[in-house]
Amino acid sequence: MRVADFTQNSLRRRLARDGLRLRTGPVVANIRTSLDMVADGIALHYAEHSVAKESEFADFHVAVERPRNLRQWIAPQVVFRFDGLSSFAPLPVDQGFPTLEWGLNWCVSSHCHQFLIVHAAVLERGGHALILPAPSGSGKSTLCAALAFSGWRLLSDELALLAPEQGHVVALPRPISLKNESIDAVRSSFPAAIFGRTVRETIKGSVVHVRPPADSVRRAAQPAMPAWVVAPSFLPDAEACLEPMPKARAMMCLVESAFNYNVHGRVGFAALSRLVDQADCYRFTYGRLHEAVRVFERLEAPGIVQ
Amino acid sequence: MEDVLSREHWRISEPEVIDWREWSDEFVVHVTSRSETHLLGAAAGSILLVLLDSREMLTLDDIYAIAVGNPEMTGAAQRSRIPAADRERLQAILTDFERLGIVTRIAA
Amino acid sequence: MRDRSPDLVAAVLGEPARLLQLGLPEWDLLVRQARSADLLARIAALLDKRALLGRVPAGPRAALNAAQILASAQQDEVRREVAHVSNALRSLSVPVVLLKGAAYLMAGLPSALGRTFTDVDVLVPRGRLAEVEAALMLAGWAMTPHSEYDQSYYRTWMHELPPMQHVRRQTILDVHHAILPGTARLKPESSRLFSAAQPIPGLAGVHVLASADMVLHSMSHLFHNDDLSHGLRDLSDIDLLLRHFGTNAGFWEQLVERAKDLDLLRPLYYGMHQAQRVLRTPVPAVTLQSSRTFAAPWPLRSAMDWLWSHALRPPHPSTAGPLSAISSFALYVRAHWLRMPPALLARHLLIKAAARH
Repeated sequence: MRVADFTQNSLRRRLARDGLRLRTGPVVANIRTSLDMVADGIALHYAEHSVAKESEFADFHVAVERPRNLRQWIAPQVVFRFDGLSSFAPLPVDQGFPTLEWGLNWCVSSHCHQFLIVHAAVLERGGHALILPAPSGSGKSTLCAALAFSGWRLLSDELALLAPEQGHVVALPRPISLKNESIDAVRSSFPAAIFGRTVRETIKGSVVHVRPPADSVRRAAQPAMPAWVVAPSFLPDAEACLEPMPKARAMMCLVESAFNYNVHGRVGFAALSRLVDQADCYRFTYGRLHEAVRVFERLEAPGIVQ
Repeated sequence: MEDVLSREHWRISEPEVIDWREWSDEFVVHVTSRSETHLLGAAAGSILLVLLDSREMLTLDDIYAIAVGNPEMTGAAQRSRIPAADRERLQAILTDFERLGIVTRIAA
Repeated sequence: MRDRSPDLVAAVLGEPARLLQLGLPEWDLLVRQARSADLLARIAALLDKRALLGRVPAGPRAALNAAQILASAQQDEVRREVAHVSNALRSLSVPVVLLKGAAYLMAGLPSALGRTFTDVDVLVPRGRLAEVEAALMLAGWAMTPHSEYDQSYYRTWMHELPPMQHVRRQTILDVHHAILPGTARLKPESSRLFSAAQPIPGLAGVHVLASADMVLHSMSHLFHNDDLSHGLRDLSDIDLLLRHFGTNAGFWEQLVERAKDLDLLRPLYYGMHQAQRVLRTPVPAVTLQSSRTFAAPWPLRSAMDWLWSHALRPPHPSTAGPLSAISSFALYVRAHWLRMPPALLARHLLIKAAARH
């Protein structure tokens, strides 16, 4: 059963009561919320995602609710709860859906240590994975969105889940988050993209989420082997420039972008060295989205490494 | 001062827990005992390899000799042939390695 | 009123074979409860030891695997930290005794199984505290910022320096000079602990407590603690220690004798009874029976039993009943009451409450 198979009322009811067991890649999250805004966000962004039965195992139990404090009568708020615990500060209520997304990212990056988790976008074409490691503000998500709507399959826009021993990336297709100027850039360039409500005045500025392409959700069970590591940076109006990055630098970039590198110790070092061995590594500067997409179209898979 | 320094010996602290990889003369080193990962340039990387390959403690002069590929250089004659700038650079690399927990310094 | 769910964590720790009978909904609840109690990695380790992980369904198996990976990384970090502490204090020739998790790990005890760590605890002689503090600071540990009041509270009334944090590694070290504070009503003598302490092979100057002392410390720590979020985990440690040492001839008699020596009979009573009740620890009936003589008098005893039965559940919403908040608060006050004379306690609680606002 998919989220889209629920009526609006039945979805809201399920979310408000025992919760909706949403399957996103390898993770099943039981989500509870009594807030219509969040329910509508789920209906829009997770339409293609499948829903697990209540009798199945959920990796996380989360909730987005109004906090039980006095302040929220003055200015309504939401809080993210992980199994009843809210370690996060409440946010204004219109940030309900982003709160869910940030909370789900936290769940995965803090707990899923069966993977080596790198802060990066991942896309796939022809069975080869493209990894875009980058801090916020580098234009990674904008580029990720552009590629996802230009024939690349989205595996994730934030969290690269690397299987440490086998070396493949596991897909976790979820809404792509965009901020500020990139919102209009993507909206105008990719009319097929489905946007949620823009939320203004968050700590990151204006934020919106884009529904992941249906194909990427349907093929979430297919992993991909890394073929390219490309560190992007956005510079307004700059000409697209892809230049090889020394592999030792690419390795350090991945080490510094990994959430749980130290948890994996020597295994983590070995896994990232193998990745860098096998992949072609680049730095990429761009100022115009369509030009950027064309550069990636021309990328060839690395030769077979013995 | 120089005499004291030249009698110091150096060795890798815990060879079994230093992982490294090299690509195009740059090295990435993982020091398990500290759970730290570092990027080393060509010079520092080659010094690391000299120390990893050796089973004994080495003086700075020994290290230099092996690194430049002339292990026959010995004694006072050799010391006078190491350019001062190189000596300083090598000393700095070894001091950095000590700080990072990669090598142990053994006083004379 | 919502029904309270059973404490599945205690049930499976007491009888690991039950894990194979769990359906997915029970696994779902168990993982959540265990995660809240910091016992997920322990359950994974117990299954791993019995080669049963392969029989766990895929969903929970991934959660168990992830917990094991994290616990294993933390254990490696503790080993490194203990080596650093040993190096930093070597020149002082001061006896350093590891406590709690770090001790279990370095001594290779079953209570290290699947254990997670947030810090390392050590015991040093009170008279050498200043030297130890200085040597540690030289080696890169710094006092964590605390108000002057907290600093004085720790040093004067508690039995430890304020926690120290290493500037580069960010790891936390707690340095104690007694296992209970000097102001506590019970007075276990530290010098006796030092004379019975056992060295750790291969690690200069570092020791662990003798078996009975280790058990008694674990019990007194749990039953004097004001933060019970790790109550069930600490009880599980006690259970594993008792199962391990309990097979040694004469252990139980030695345990009682030693508790008398160290003035720790009351925590021993609580420790044995709660472990047996909650985790089915095989405590000999005769020991349990005779221990009632050092229990609290009857009305207080049953009140305490009730308090502990609430407090020793996983700190998860599913196991909380309407009275859990009350019992937690009562135990918090009790823990402080055991540590500080009443007038000081009132002052302390007032200051802490003010600091929160």
